[in-house]
Amino acid sequence: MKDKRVTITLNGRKTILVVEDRTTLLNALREHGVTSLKRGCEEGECGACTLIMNGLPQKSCLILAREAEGADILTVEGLVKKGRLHPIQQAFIDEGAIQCGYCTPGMVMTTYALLKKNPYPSDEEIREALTGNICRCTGYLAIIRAVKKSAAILSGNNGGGGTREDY
Amino acid sequence: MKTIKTKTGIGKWLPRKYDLEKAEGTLQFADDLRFGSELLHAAVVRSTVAHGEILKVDDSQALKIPGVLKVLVGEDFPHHFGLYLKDRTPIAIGRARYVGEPVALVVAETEEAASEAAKKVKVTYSELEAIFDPVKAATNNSVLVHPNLHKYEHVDFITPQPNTNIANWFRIRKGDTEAAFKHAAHVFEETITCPQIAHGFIETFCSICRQDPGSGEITIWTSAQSPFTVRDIIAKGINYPLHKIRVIAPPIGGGFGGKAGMTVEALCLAAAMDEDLKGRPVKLFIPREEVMLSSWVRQGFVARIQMAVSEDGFMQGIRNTFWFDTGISAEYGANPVRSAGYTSMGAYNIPNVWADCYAVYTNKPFGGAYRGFGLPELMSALEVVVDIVAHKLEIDPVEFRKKNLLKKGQTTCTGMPMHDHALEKIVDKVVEKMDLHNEEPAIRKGWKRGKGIALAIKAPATPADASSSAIVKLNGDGTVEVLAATMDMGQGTYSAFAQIVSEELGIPYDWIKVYYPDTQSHPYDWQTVASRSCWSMGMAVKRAASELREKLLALFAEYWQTPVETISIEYGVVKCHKLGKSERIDERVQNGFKMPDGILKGGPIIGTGSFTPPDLIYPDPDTGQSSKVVAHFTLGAVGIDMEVDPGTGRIVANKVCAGYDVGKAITPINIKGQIEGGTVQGLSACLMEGMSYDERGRLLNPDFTDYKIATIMDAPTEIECFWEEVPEEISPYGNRGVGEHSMIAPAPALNNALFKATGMRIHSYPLSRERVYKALKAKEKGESDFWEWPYELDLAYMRAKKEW
Amino acid sequence: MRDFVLERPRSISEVLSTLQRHGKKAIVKSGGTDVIVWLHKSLKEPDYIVDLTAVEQLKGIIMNEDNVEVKALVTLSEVIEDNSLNRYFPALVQACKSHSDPLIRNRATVVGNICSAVPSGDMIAPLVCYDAKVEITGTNGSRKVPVSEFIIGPKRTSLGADEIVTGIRISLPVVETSGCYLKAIRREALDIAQAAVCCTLFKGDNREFRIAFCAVSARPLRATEAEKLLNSCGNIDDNVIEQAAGLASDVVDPITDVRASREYRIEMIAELTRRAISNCLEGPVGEGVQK
Repeated sequence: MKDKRVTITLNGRKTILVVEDRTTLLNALREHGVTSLKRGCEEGECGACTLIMNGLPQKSCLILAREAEGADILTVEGLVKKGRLHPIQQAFIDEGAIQCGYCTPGMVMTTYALLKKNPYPSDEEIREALTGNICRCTGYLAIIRAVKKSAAILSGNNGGGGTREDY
Repeated sequence: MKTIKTKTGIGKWLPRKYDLEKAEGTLQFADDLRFGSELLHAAVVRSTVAHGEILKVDDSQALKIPGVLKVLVGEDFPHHFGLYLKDRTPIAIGRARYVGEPVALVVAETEEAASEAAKKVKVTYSELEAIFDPVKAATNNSVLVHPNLHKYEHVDFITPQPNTNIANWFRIRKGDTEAAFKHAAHVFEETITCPQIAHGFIETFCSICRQDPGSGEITIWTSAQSPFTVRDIIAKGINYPLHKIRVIAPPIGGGFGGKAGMTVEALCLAAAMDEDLKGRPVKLFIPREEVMLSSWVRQGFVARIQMAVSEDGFMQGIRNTFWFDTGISAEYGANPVRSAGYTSMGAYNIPNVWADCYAVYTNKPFGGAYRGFGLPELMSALEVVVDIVAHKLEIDPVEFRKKNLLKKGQTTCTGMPMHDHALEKIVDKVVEKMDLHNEEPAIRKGWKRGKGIALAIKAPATPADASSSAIVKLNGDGTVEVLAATMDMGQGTYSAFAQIVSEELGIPYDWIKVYYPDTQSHPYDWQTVASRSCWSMGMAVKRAASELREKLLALFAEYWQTPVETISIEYGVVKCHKLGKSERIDERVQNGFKMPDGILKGGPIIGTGSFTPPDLIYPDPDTGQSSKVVAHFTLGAVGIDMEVDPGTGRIVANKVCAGYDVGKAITPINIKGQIEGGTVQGLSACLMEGMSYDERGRLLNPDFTDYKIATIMDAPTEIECFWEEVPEEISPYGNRGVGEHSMIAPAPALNNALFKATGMRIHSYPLSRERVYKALKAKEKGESDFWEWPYELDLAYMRAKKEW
Repeated sequence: MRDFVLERPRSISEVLSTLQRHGKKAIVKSGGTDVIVWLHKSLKEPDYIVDLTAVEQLKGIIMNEDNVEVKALVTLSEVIEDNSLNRYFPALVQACKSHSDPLIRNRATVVGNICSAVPSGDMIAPLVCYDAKVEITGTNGSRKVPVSEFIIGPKRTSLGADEIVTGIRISLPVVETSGCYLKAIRREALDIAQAAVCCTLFKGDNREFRIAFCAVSARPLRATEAEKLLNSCGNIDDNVIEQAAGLASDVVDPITDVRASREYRIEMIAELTRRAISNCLEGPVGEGVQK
């Protein structure tokens, strides 16, 4: 029975989810309309459902909706401000780090959390941080380039810019 | 004077179409569509036996679960479906043929109720002997997976062998192979195997079907690569008119061939067409752990390759036997067999070729299309065999390959002349960029390092008449809409189409929109497969855009009273430099131009274009010979620098270099993406992927917990990719396909590098850590070749003590 | 996933009364990264889930004078980021880093890992090496047991139906230590161990090696014979290491499954033991408490 109410802050807005006890946070938010969270495996192996809960990137298929009571939740929908993409989103587009797009929201959220914590990550730190987000299309190297580019932009150091012509 | 100017035409690096929505998370995939509370949900009851008569389906407990409306069995929807061979029903009828085959379908008000009820359906079977080994199945008919094979409808270029397990037998008979082997100075024979592997797209299958109860019209929203082929297969399967079936394909989260043809749509349709449920939309979402059981995977492969070489190192003959393990259905899997057969000679000039390529039924989940369509398997074998031969003859493997390269004008194994290409140059570049002949010490302490190379070749092995068509519409503000029923599943074809349209119309890329396919609005396209879209649909889009341009220019010519040659479209503006005129495109392209004589002419301007390969001829069924059996070949080479930890069998790729002759790079961003992505997918398949079964045919690694694919940590540090552009004759801009090709050569290149590093040849993929470790142990005992029967692991499992 | 009733008690006493009410019909979850997967796969179909995540008393890493308490809700990420744990228990931190991925580690707990008690649990071997005590509270009071006695078989613990683990407590080493956790997996990251070896070295006058394994036995297992050999040898050369590795692989009893064969697991135990001993002799160095 969907009779449990869960109050969260979703992308800055107070939101009430109506759920069953068994409902995962992934399914509750998807039902609410947050379809950037994808059902890739529902057992924590793919990362397509990654969101940021109370500041930490997590896989929402491994969280029951009711556990999120009172939580502050950020999804990729929350990164677009006044119609402007977040620099991470833009860097993913510019670097060809997106192909089918199914893993992209999760990748972007993990990157967002990484750069909050570590504004100047090394290649190795980028790889380590994104270990739990599987991408079958890109071969990952474009994603690493995008993360580095967004790190440069966010830290105000976009020296040289992108690699558009430099294929 | 050129009639258009654009800064966003072909060859430019531009942001890809729909990447914005993907980055925002707003692009809606099939699972994201909403249908309200009328939506019903289906869940699948799957066979627990590999082969058995279905005695009884007891749904009494399932129907007690609140919200459960109906449990369907195979007899409720007794239609056969198939692209090339109609050998499968969405739900098993009478006999279950693999563990995981749908035997019943539960329909309920909620997804939870449906999946709970599916667990409560009790099915009883009378078990039959099953067969899992494709070579045994092909050579011993004691177990027949399809006793009614002779009754199934099939296309003419597929040749099933009734009363056997051979669903297709494709042959090549070129030259005099017997004489070539008799007179050759050196003869070699090698066997190599690849297991079944999974596509591993992150979006699983999802379909929603609805039938209008009054008109009977069917609408299908589905995660499909090929909406028109879904429509065709369903129409033929249920004997229904095409115009009453509408297939809408929202964006898909990766395909790689796994969403080609018709996958789970008919299964969902079985519920939507049920008399009791009709009118309500029914959704079938396949959870990850059922993906490999729901539709095809890449076929298992056993290759026996014999090669005859002359004293001076020229390949004289090749004799191939390929067994493709196609599981219980060859409806699609019959064709990779033909595809591999077409390229039995690899990228080499071999005058005498004999090939027997079989699609073999076994009691396993079924095989079908997968990125590379038979060629990654074939080249994983052939390119290793070529390396083995070179080493045994003490010829440098690069020299041996170059010496025997299939050059322009020489004939392929099907007797068609090879077109011009840059393979030799590519090989040289790969050798140089990898410093391939320089044996370097391992970077990691105690590891062994090696470098290897392998070639890639593939042609689109579509039916000869696979066609495309497109509509390009000009709006009243100069923006353009393109209807081309290709599925952009990440490869980026919509960007390519928009760049083609920009190139043809002189209209900026940002003004051009390409829509996801809907059979109701879009004109026909066969399938988004075979790396054919920028080529075949590219032709249709180019023709449509050119037609639109000609119509528009003709109208302006009359309007301005000037010869059409004096008019150009520059960055979206129509100009006549001679008259000093310059006008924006406006409502006149919708409602007509008021000509100098006062008469209104024109009206809405659309361009249409169609393309059918003009000169393909099916091969002779007995010899495989034809003047032109495929449109073109894309060739390339991959070099890999890797090292292995002998203590654990762990392999790390230091660097990969991959180059292909793409004819013309329309969208460099996509070509780079395809090369990098395919390289990692190829390495993943090489190093860790394989479906494993126990002795009863149960898939042991159905989910991502145990079916491992490459993570970001598994990607090589560097992939240097490049391309050459020797143009193709029949092609929009000389371009050839490259989407699949990048997956072909990484596995054999890595395997060859492993040999360089260790002196050990592994004949069975994947080169998993355990297998490599075992092989290197065998090497210590003096072995030079390591070979595990694909089902070795299954046997080990059988022996396992399952006390845990 | 079959439906269940989710209980979210706020205190340990509420947890215990809830468990008393539901008995064996309930499963306790902390981070949920195992439990929710089991539910999803229908491997467990409980009527009740008792979720500990709202119990504030179960949060935190507490440094005491001579020991550290890792409470039940401490995640692997918290362990990885804790300076003290890095200083004193490097093998535990390495094991945490080898576990799954950074996203899951933000939820998965150390205590949850041992309560799941799967033989491939990454926390088991380091906690055995560091001689951690599992602190259990039930309606009939509290008790402490070593990890090796807590886990009694695959997915089986000595926990009563009315008990929970409130945390683990590890004594701080009084000497300089080194330690490592080496794991054989099928790809570069995010995999369950095929086999793993934890090795710790307590330096000082009475040098002591401890070696324990992962994924190669039904219950926690220490390589006592190998440890004896190492602890009795003045000079540990390659020959001794080789013998120790042999003794280590002699005691394991792994299964064959889709992840690895028994043979490969045994070989990896020998190889990883060899490497782990050398690593410990060379560092990374953990500190001892200054007394």
